[in-house]
Amino acid sequence: MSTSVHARAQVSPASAWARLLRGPTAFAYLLLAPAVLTFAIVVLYPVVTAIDISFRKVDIYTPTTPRGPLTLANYLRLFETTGFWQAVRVSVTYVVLSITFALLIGFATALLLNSRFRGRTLARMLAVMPWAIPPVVAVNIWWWILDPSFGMLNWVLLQIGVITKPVNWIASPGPAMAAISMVTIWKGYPFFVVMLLAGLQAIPQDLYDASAVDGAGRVAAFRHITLPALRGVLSLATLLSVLWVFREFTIIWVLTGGGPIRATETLAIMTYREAFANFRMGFAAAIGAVTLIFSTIASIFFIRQAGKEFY
Amino acid sequence: MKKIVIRVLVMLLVTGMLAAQGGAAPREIVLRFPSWQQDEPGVSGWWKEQITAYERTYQGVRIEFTKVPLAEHTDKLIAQFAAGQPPQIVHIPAQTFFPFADRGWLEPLDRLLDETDVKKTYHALQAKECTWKGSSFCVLMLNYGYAWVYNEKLLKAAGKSVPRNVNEYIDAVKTMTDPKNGQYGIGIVTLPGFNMAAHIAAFVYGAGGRWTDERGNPSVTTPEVIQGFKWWKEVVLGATPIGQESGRLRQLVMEGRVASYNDGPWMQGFALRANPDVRPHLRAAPLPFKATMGGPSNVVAIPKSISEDEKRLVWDFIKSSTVKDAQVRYSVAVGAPAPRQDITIPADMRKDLPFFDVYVEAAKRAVSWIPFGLETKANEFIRLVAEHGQRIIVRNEPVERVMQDLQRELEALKRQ
Repeated sequence: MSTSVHARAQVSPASAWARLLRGPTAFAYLLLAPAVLTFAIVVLYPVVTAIDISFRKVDIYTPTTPRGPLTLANYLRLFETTGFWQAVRVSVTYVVLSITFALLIGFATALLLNSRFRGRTLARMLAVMPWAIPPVVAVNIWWWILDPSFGMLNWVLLQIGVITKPVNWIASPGPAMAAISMVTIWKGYPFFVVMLLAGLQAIPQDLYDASAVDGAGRVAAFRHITLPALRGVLSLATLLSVLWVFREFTIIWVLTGGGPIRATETLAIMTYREAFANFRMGFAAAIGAVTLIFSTIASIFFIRQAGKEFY
Repeated sequence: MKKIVIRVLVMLLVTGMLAAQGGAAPREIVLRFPSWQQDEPGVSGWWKEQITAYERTYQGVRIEFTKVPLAEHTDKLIAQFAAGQPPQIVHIPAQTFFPFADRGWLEPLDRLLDETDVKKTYHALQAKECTWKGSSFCVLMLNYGYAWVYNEKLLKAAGKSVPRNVNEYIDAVKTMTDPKNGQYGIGIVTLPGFNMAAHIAAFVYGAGGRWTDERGNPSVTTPEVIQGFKWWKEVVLGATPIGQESGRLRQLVMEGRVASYNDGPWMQGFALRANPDVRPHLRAAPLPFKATMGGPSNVVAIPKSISEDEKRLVWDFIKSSTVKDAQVRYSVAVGAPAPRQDITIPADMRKDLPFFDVYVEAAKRAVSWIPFGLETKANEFIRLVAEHGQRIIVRNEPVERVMQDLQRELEALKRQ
């Protein structure tokens, strides 16, 4: 026995590699290699590079750009810049507004589509349609609706007397935030519908039957069965939506460009503008790194929620 | 297990051999040419003619002429240059040319220009606006001046005549405005970006203001600049549909819902495509200001990082646009004088260009609005001007105070 242990301990690294390559997992590693390599090139390399240049004074980064000395200047400047805190405020407002309404509308729609009625299949298809429309197309459709001078929304609101003069949806700070949130909600609620509908269909009918026997009403069943049973799906859907909305670029850029007067300039828009309009890629990378930290914190919170089992 | 691995290796080998065989076929050379002018009425036709003629001469070379909206064009080019993948044919608005030259991204063209008569025959702006630190880096495509394109029928219906001074101009556009009926006197771009800054510049330069003084220092608190912003504010708040970009505003002019528009000669191409009931009424007149905003419009250049063979091919393409025949056709296509000064446009070619004479005069009077001293920070300069302009119209802040803030920000930008 001791001889055998001694012999195993003396296996050279080369022969260990050879055994690994001959072993049953070799083919699995071979199949995994392209995915791992692609991940390293497409995800890991840019992230590491971005973090690296966030600690250097870089205006325009190219792979051949000589590396300057390491510095905290970008981060110090970031926390001193009012534009950064304004972008944080805008990002949080935008995420909270968009996710809250998308979740509420998505939840209500999922509950509706989970009940039996004539034309349910068609209704399900229509409910998820906004999700399938490319963002640029969606924004252009909304552009025509929100046009301050010739748009349909202002016309309708004027006709029914809700407003007395046209709302400047694109060029006024408050309405511009409402406008980008509206488009994001419209684009994002179908995701909640799909996820929550799947979650609702997975809840065993027995639980509702048992609660009915115990005399529980619809509200009580919703509160004590539906909501807890959907906790995992809800957390996951919210997490993914928060991450998507937090880094949303197309809707804001095409609709308002971050304006007016930076009223819709989120961290994603600020990062792009600093990198490609103001040629401060080191500074932009610092904004990106902070955004990554925010996203990670949000992910940890929601993943913990999703992990709590109901059944 | 061994069999599977061998099969995978054989498949890879066969695929590789097939790919290698495909690679043996004659290789087509593609020169990428992104431009906002790809679908611009008038000038896009001229570019396509040039490309067709070039491809006929240079067999095996294809020019990939693609559309990129003007608002995104410079940012996209910067990203491509930064990634080491610039298009072979670089078409840039003259306003944003300098950052590219300053970063050493463009090929010096002096030696190549000496092969041509460009230096002798082109407008003086070729030498002035294409030179950076003593070397030439571009070829001028167009120099221009703004004019006022208006709907004569709507002007007459408002009981007004062509304005001879700025007060008459403001009065005319305000009188032609009736928002309840979806009718506006003028289209002014109020969405941040290049065109918003250009429209502001028309008023600022019209009032005799300049972004910077003769030493290149910001000068936006002068009475002239403040006056220009006040005129702009009055026109925007009293006569224009808010929150519109240039393409949409031109469309509204073509539909007769916006009565006039300040624009360069390219507006002629749009006017010729206007609705049949609007087209006969569109006219052009000089802007009734002290000075006309304009200058160099756009330029072409060659990236430094492409191969010598590609540089030669691109240069031959650029050179083909500088010869007399091409310049005459260009002038007709854009409805304005071409940069080459030793050409005359035959009368029969001018008869379908009703705004031509107005734009010839506008180009002669034009003052370049490129901010001397801040050329290499054009993108941020444009953003700051547009952002401060928005403060004036959105928050109704006093022009004087906003200009003091803009002055501070521009001074900080210059120091960076």
